[in-house]
Amino acid sequence: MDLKGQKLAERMYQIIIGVFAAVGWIIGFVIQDFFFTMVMFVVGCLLATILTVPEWGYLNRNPHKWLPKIQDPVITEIKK
Amino acid sequence: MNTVSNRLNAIFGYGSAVLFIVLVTNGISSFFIPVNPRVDLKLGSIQQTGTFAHNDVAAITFDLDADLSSLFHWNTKMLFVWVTASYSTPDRPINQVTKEESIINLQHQTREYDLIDKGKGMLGQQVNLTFSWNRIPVTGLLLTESLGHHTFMLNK
Repeated sequence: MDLKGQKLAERMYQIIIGVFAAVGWIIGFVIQDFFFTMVMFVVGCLLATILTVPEWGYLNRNPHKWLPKIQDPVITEIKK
Repeated sequence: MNTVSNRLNAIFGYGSAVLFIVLVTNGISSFFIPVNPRVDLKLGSIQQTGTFAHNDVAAITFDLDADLSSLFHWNTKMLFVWVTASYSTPDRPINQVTKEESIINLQHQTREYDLIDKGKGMLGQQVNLTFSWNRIPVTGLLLTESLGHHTFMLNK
């Protein structure tokens, strides 16, 4: 996973869990059922885990650009 | 965030913090949900009074009509309700006897007790019947509240 993918994954699980918990809290309060809030929270956690934990392709779209390989000058000097 | 275990750990930590906030706000919200329990408690009859093994004993019945449905909101797991009879004797100024107790959940379990004094002195005193309950919450504080007082004389 590249650096931009890591940033995206972190922001994604924060928003998913937060939104599911907030919506579940409000609906649970309206219908006076706390079990619904817990179900929504668990669903949010599972969704965030599925979307961000495995190395999906969309998290790997900006691969690192490494510098070109440098020749080894050290070995020739030792042989002298 | 660059390994699977690192991401699982981050999600677990963030989820725990969110769960804590959800539970605390749920506990706080129960103070703002209006409840209006209605309790009507009266003495039914004094069936038998006497002295048994040097202790004053009274068998009484009471009539109870209560509507506790508003106490069941999203932060209520179950109710524990009971009726106490309290009186004072010359020996001991404060006596409380649990007359009946019940756990209100999906099914009721009720137990009944007689009024038995420790020694003599209960008969001829004024007895207060009180209806009390614990609302056992999902999160938050477990408070004892009481309602529906009734006073009667226990004759010798």
